[in-house]
This record gives sequence, C-alpha cells and structure tokens, in this order.
Amino acid sequence: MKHTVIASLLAFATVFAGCTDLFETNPDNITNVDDYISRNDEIYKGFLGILTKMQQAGDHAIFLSDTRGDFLEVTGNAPVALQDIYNYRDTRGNAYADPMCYYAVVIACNDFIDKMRDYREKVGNSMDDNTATNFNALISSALRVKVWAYYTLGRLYGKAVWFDDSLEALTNLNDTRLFTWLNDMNAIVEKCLDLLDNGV
Amino acid sequence: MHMKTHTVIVLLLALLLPFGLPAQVDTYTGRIVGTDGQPIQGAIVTYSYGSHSVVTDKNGSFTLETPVQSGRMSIVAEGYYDRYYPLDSANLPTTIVLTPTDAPGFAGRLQWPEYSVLRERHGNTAQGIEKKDFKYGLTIDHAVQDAVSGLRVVRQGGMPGEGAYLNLRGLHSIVATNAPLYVVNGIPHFGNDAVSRTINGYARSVLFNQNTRDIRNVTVLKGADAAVYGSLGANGVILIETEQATSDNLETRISFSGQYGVSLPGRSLPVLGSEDYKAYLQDIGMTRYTLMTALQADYPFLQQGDHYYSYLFNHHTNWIREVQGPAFVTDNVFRVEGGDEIAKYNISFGYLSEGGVLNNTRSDRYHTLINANILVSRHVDIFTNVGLYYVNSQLQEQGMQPTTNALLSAYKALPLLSPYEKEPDGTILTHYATYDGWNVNANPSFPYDNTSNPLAIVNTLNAKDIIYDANIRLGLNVKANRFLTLTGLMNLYYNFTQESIFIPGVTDKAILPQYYGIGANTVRKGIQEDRTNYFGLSGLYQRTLADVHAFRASAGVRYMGRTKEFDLSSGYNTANDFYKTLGKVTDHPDIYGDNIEWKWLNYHLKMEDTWNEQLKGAFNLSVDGSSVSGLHAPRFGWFPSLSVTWMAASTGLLPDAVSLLNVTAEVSRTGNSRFSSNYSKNYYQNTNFFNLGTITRSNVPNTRLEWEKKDQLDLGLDLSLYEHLVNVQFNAFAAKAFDLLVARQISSVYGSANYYDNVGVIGTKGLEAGLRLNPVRTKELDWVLGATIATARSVVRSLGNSRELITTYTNYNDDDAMTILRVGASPYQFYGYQTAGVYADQVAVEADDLTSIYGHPYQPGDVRFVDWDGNGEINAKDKTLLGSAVPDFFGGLFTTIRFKALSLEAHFGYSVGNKAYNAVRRSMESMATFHNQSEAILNRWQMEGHQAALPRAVYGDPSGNNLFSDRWIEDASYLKLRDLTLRYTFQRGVLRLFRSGSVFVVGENLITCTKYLGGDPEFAYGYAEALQGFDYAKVTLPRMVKLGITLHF
Repeated sequence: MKHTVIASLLAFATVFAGCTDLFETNPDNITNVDDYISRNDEIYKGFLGILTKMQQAGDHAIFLSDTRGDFLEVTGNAPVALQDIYNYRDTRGNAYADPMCYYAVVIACNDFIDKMRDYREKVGNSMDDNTATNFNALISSALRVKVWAYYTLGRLYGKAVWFDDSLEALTNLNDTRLFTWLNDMNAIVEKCLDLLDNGV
Repeated sequence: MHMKTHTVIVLLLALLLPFGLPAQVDTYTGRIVGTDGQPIQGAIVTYSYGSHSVVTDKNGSFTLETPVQSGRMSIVAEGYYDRYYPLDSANLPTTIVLTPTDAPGFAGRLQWPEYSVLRERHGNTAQGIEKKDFKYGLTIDHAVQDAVSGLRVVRQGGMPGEGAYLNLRGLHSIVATNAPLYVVNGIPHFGNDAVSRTINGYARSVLFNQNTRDIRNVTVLKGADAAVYGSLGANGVILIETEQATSDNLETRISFSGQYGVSLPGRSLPVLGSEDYKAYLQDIGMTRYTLMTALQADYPFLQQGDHYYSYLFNHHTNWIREVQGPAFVTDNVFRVEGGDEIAKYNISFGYLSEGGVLNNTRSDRYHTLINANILVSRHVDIFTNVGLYYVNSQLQEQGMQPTTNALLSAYKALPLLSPYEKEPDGTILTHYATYDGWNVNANPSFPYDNTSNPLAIVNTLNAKDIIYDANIRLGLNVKANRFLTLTGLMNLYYNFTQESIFIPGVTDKAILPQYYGIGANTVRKGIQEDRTNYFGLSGLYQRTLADVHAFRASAGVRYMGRTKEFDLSSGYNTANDFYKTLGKVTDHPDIYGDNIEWKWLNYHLKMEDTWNEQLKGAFNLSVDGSSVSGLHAPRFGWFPSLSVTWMAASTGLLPDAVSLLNVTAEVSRTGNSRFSSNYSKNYYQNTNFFNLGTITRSNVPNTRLEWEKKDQLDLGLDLSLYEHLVNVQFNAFAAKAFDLLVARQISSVYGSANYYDNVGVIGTKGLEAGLRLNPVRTKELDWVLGATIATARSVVRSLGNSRELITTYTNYNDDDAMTILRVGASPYQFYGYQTAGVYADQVAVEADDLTSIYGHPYQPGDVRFVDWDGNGEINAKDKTLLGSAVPDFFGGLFTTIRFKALSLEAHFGYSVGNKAYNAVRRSMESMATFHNQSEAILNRWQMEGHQAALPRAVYGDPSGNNLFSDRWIEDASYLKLRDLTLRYTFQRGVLRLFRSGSVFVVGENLITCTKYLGGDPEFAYGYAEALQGFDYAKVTLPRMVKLGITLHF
C-alpha cells in the first residue's frame, strides 16, 4: 500500500516536472512568439503593426523638428518639455527628445523581417501566388520603413545605432556583432542605401 | 545551499537522539482544574507509552501508573485546550490547570488545513484567532481587526460590500502584490483586488465570499511557516479554516445566528451655510469680476432685498443630509449539522443585507456552504466543501469625481438652492432641479460653476454590481497506516462579476455631462471572469518516536492555474434617459479588455519534531516554479526555513509561576511571484490603427526575470505566568526583500518604455507585542484585558540604477499629488511642497522675494512656500518628503467583563504617526471656484496684515496656493472604539424552543479620537500600496448599532 502511494506520488511529481508546457501561458489577448506568423493574414496585420509604431514616432518627429523651424510655435500652455525644445534648451530627460520611438520602429521592422523569413521556410512552396507577390512587397516596404527610421534618427540626432536583430532579449549594446554605432549622417545614409540596394 | 541542507539534517538528527535519563516516576497522582479553580471531571489523562489512559473523577483527581520513567502525558477534556507534560520534568505539578476554549481573547490553537497545533507547542510567529473572538463585523477582515499584532487591517469605507486593506509587516514589493496570501482550507485564494473601472472608486472585499460565521479559525503565519508556500509566501500567509463536517457529535444540530441593526452616517466636512456662502462669493467674485453690478447680474442673490429670482435662492439646503441617512443592516446564518458514522454534513445558508449610509446603496448577499465527509472504508474518506455566493449590490460612484460622486457634489452644491425645480410662485415641483436651472443670466460675464444635483445622483444614477461565485473543494484521505495519511485535493473556483452603471443627464439635466462635457448621459458595463484550479497531493506522517519525540512530516506537490478576463464597454448619449443600454449610445463607444494567465507549481516538505515537550525544531522546504519566470531565468526556486522553539517551562528549571515560556528563533526565505506572467515574455498584441486591428510586438522583455525573494530572521517570546493570568507575546523581525521588480531605465536603443528587472531591495525591521491579563477568573466573574502593539519600518535600500521613483496620480481627476520611493527613505512618502503659513502683508512678501511656480511674484494672502533650493523661485526642485500612510506603531486594546451569563466587551484600535492626504479638504478649501467651500475658509486671509491660517480667496488660484503640499497632508493618528458589545448567554432553553443561545447588542465605530479633519481617519482607496493614505472621497465609515441573537435548537 505504502509503496503504491509513494510511487503514485513520485509519478505525479514527475509528470508535473517533465511537462515543460505547464508554465506556458497563452491568454486570449496576446500571441506568443512561437505562434506568430502562422497564418497568411498575419503578414498583413504584422506589417500594419510596423505602421502603428511609425505613427507613434511620427508625432515625435513633428514635435522635435517642426517646433524648431517656422512651422510650429508653442503656446504658454504647452508642456514644459515642448517649450524646452522650442527654446533650444537642454533636452536631457525630455520625453519628446527621446529617440526610443524610432528604435521601436527599427525593432518592429527587424522582427517582422525575421518572422516573415521563418514563415517562408515553414510554408515553403505552398504559398499561393497572390500571397507570394505581396510577401515580397511587404518585406520591401518594411525595409523602407526601417530606412525612414534611421534617416529620421540621422536627421534629428546626427547619429544612430544600427542593428538587424529583433532584440528578443536585452542584448549588450557593446556587442559589435549586433550593433554598429554610426556617428555621422554620411555613415547612416550609406547604411540606408546599402539596405535599399541590397536588401536583407 | 548544500551547506545549509547539511546543517539542517544534522540538527534534525540531533533532535531525534534521546537526551539524558528520565527521573524515576512510578505513580503519579494529580488533580485537574480549570482556570476558574473548578475541578474538571471526565478529563482523559494519557501516557504516551502504550497509550495508557485514566479519567478524572468528580474532584478532578487521577492516578497514573507509569511502567517506564519517560514519555509524555497528555490531558484532554471537552471544553478545554489540551495540555502536554514531559513525565520526567522535575516539577510536574500536582494540580494541572486547563484553559477553557472559550477564554476571551485567548487563541490556544493554530489551525493548519490538515491538523491543528496547540499554541503552547509552537513558536509565536504564527498567531491564531478563534471563532469565539471574532467581532460581529460583516466581513472576516473586520472580525479579526487588531487581533494579531503586526497585521494591519484598514477598512476601506462605508460603501456596502467593501472590505479592508491588509498589510503584514510593511512593504516587501513594489510591482508585485504586497497583500498577505489568503489560504482558505488549504487553497490559496487571490480574489478580486482591483478597484472597479466601471463604478468609480469601488473596491469590493477580497473575502466577500467568506461568511464570518462559517469560519472557525484564522491563523496568521508571520515567520518561517510561510515558507511552505514558496513564492507566494513573502507577504505572510493568512490561513482561513471554515467549518467542516468532521465533528464527532453525531446528533443533528440546528443553529441560527442573526444580527439586525442600523448604520448611521459618519462625520462629514462642515460646509458654509447660505449667508457665509454669499459673503464668500462676494469676496472671491471680485477677484474675477471687475464690477460688483456685473457679479450681481449673474448672481442676483448678492443683491440687497428681494428680486425676481429670490424664489430660487431662498433655501438653506444641507445637501449632505439630503444624500445620507440611516440604513438597515442584517446578517443571518442558519446551520444544520449532523450525520452518522459513515456520512457527516454541515450545511449553512446565509443572507446578508448591508444598507449603505449613502442613500440607495445596498449590498445583498445570499450564500450556502455545504460540507460533507463520507467514510468510504476504514481507510478512506472523501470530503467536500461547496461554497456558493450570489451578491447583488446597488452602489454609487466614489473618488474625486465631483460630477458623479454624490458626497463631493453635496459638499460643493450651493446651499441656497432647492433640490427640486421651483415655480416663481414658490411651488416646489417633483422634478429634480437641473444643474443649471439657477443660471438666471443667459449671457453671463463668465460661465457658471455648476455642480450636479446631489439628490439626483443618489436617486437616479444606477450603479449595480452582481457577483456569482462558486468554490468547490473535493478531497480524498487515505489512511495508509496508523501514522501516514495521504490526501488528494482539488479545488475549482469560479467568479463572474458583472458591473454596470448608467449616469442619466439627457432627460432631466440634473447631473453634469461626463467626458469633457460631451457625454450628457453615460453607459458603462464591465464583466470579469476568474477561474482558478488547484490540484494537490500530499502525505502527512505523525508519530511519537522513542516516547519523547512528537514527530510530524508532510510532503506534497500542488499546482494552481488561474485565468482572468476583464472586459469593459462604455459610451455616451442615448436618445434619452429611458435608454440605458450600450446598444443605444451614440457617442464615443469604447471597449477595453484584458486577459491574465498565471500558473504555479510547488513541491513542499515540512518536518518537525518536539522533543520531550521541551525543544521543537522545524524545517520547511519549498521548491517552487511559476509562469512569471522568463525564458532565460531559472524556473524553480528554493525556499527553505528553519525554526527552533525552546519550551522552557517544561524543563522544570523555572519557577512554578511560569506556566509557559517559549523562545523561538527562525530563519526563512520566501518569494513573491504574484505579478504578471507577461513581464518576462516576448509576445504580440493587437493594436488599433485607424480602426484596423494590427499586430505589434511587445517591449523588449527581461527574459531573465524571476520571482522576488525575501529573507527573514524572527525571534519570538511567548510567556504565561500563573496559568495565563498574565500572557506576554513578543516578536522581533528583520527582513530583507530583494530581487524586487523595478521598472528600470534602459537605453532608448531598445525601443521600450518599461523594462522590469529584479533589482529592488527593501529592508524592514519591526517589533510586535501582545499582552493579555486575566486578573479575575472565577466561575461567576471573569475579567480580561489585553493590548497589542506593532511597528514595521520599511526602508528602500536599492532601486537598481535609479535613486528614486515617483508615482503620479493624474489619472485621479488630474491630481498633481505624488508619492516617492527614494533610496534610504521609507517607501511611498507623499512628495510635495512644504509651506510656512500665509504672507500677512507686503513686507513679508518682499522679505522672501519669491516667484511662484507660474513665474509671478507672490502677493499678501498667498501661501508661503519653502524654497528648498534657495533659487528664489518655487519649482519642482522644492518638493520634499512629507511622510507616509504607514503608522509609527499601531494595534488594539480590548477588555471583556463577564458576570455570570452577562458579558460586556470593548475593542479599541489605534494607529499613531500615519499621515493622510486629505484630497477632499483640499478641494473644499481651495477657494478657487464659486462652489461652496468648507467652513474652515472663514479663517482665510482677508486684508493686509491679517494673520490668517488660510490664504486669500482668488478665482483660479493664480499663485498656486493649492499645489500639492503639506497643507493637505494631515496626521491621521487615531484611537477609536471599534466595538462595544453587551451579551447575555443562556445555557438553558426557553419554552423548549431552543437549547441554548445568546442575545447581544453591539455598537461599531462609535467613538473616534483624532485630529484628522476628514470624515474618518480610517479609509483605504483600494488595495494598492501607492494609494494608501489617499482620502479620495470614499463614503465615510458608518457607525453601526445592531441587535443580535444566536440560537441552538
């Protein structure tokens, strides 16, 4: 009796421990990394996801550039951060001057390209003609969005960190295999042209 | 780790070795009495060797012949706590005193799901409260308030169905949950601790599905015992054990308990009457208008004598009285229990109705708890508990929403106005007065400051909360042999909560429009579904070894999975107020939703041995994994604890007067994985892009993220003199919570705003003490008095690469309040400006020569802010720490006097040094609008040279006098009479209708001594740590008077 019970206890424990999916969560409002891209429509929705990030960055681009030209004038009621930009004050810690949103676009593009590549490998030749045509167009568009992000970074900040990784974890920025520090506009443009000409 | 494990094994082996030679005792004669000195007949005295037993005679005497000289003697008597003695003790008493189980304020038993332990045989880092000591509160958290030193229970407010914020020993987490873990009958219970997004400010009791009368014991694990719950134990554990069908009494017993009473409104902020209001308006009006005639044209009641509109402004309405009033409260539980040798049952049905002091608020709760225990064979029994709850509440909005919070609106409404429409001839109509019905000038110089009609809010705003809640526990015990019991346990918990609100305003126009003034009426509906499954398998081994070792070991595995979904829809402007559904809204329909999944697996081992009733050692180990760990983080954590208790009174070395002296030392590691599984994950989410569903990637996650940890050292002392005539309990602890989740700043290159990392450290030290005196304890007269005191001081030690983290509250009606976590300081301190009175005259202004936050020089009558950085201007750098809601020390006092069958009990609670942010007073003393103000503004600055407590009244507050500052931070220390109970217990039946019972009268929250200027110094806006001390216009805790009866048929 005792042995049976102990054996069943151990079996129960082993079953739990052996099952790696036990801790995996998959709530209905998110898609796990492994499940994306798994259907045709996701290649379109995923691309629009890049545009969503681009739109968020678009606001920033206007705040940081147009307020310093003659296009926009801030009022007394505008946030202090915006006034600081308008008045060419120190922008350290200023949320409107943070380049984060452009890098979010870059990551979205890199990630999309990676996932599209995986999808192509998974689907192989079974992709219908229409999707196959659009597939290339979407990749091409994603590259152009990425170039836009870097070009804007160059225009606004004069420097950028180039990478093609989708950053699924916090990777060391000094890792030269992944990150290239571009310190002037020429270097950025060169990299952008290279991407446009040669693709990924 | 290896080192620690070896040490533990060596210690345990040492405990198992027989110590020394026992003294020679062949025959032992003794007498057993109660604490009242009366002999106890029928007590069973057992000697551990061979389980030889004798029964005491009518004088309480017995003679025990012992074949060997060691072992332990146990005494068991119905109605008394068991008692154990080592037989070799040098001073085995000839008179043994047993403590009755109904001794007031004395919890002699700690209840674990599988077994109970006598308090005398356990370290006092675990403390129990038994049913007899529960107060007559409507929720279990209220019923155990102040009973355990170190457990801070703060009731949330007077809206029906709300519970209490609980904190055990300070802050141990920033991002994860900081509330203690509730374990109901062995199953962790998380509950719904979110503040409603549908009905503003409403936070229902997390334990709404526990009827106080169905609970038999609450045991609070403050120290090493919590480690068995692994990564759920860092905040301490509260074990709740409900009634079970396990009684050996096979008779069918029926009982009923009922309470009926009235809830009375608490204190409110005094506001200006009609005449004072007029004077105020005249004063502030001229800071906006340049001509008095223009002001009078818009506000004709400022003119002398009668005028055409006099009929509109000739009232003296006390709006607070209009919206609040007494309400009926009742709680009824009917129980039937019984069965036979094979099948036992214990079933209760209950109905609770809690009327709120805010008119038209009520919460009705219907419940049943069905417990059954079936002996399938000699070795196997099946048990089940099925708890079903249905709650239907009619509520109102709270929080800083003056348009829909009836109380705030009542404070601000003009006292001159009538709640109902009026005709020029003075006839009062039945319609509610519209919010702008008194705006007599069609083209005013400035827009009117209107308020919603408070009476229309309470009578026509419809906010409902309906809960369906089912908790089903099913278990199987297999008695493998005399010592080993195996238990399989599963629990299914399901909760469905549906909230809805309709704020009218199209038809009657009595409530101001919502959503930036465009939502004339509002519809919101929210649903929440929570499913939690639990499966567990465990074994319990209990055995007396070598006569002197009471050994117990348990081990097992348990798994829990939780899914939670929340959906909220809202919209504005149905055609009129008869259409109250979402389908009829025409403006800004909006949908929000959230899904949560969380999983936990825990292997646990517990071993304890009590040697000769003198030394107890316990070792716990949990190996624990959960879904919060990232891809590159370890999945399982180790959570060991070690505890040693020396039961010095049993050694015979102490004087006879010392009946108990337990000294405990414990070390433990616990964890906290009560946070989102998504923080460490890479995932994709759906984002709305011009009404197109798009897929976007999450932030760069921390794939090395893991559970938070806490190491704790505990010391405990439990002393009893003269058989519990004097009881003293003392605890000291030092805890270090580390690897706490903090939103760390990372390079912008990662494209992510939030990056959680295990970098935070918070240290907490504290002392807790309890005293209980029982100076008179005869059969006729019994008097007990007691007190608890506790302190827990947390200090932030690290926040990773940040020195401070600021929390803002702009989501709360654009509040500019802040709290701060700063390294080296206590957490969540209010962070704002410091003030130094009011500038009396121009000379004082010029002496300081400061510029306001808006860049203007100050004027006489403005608040004098402290310019900490000395740069001549008041700006964000002048903000400073202003204290926190954590008290310096807190606790309770109680006394019980019983004369024959009549008893009087009083419980007091106190909290000293806790600060509160009185946002209600701030909005009522702002003197920046034409709304009605608090009476305090009569002391405002009015002329050059005036030494005033409050600044000048200026429309729009151009100097920033009302910025978030120490003006609004108050000392909310208090001492309050929580309840006063007079009870008569009858042991004999009346008219043969019942066998025994009691009747009682209880008054709750009757008297509060405090300097706090708000309604009640005890309040909590939800359960979040960062919101404690925020007086955000919740309904003040009511006073309550109830008549109750308990009958056993």
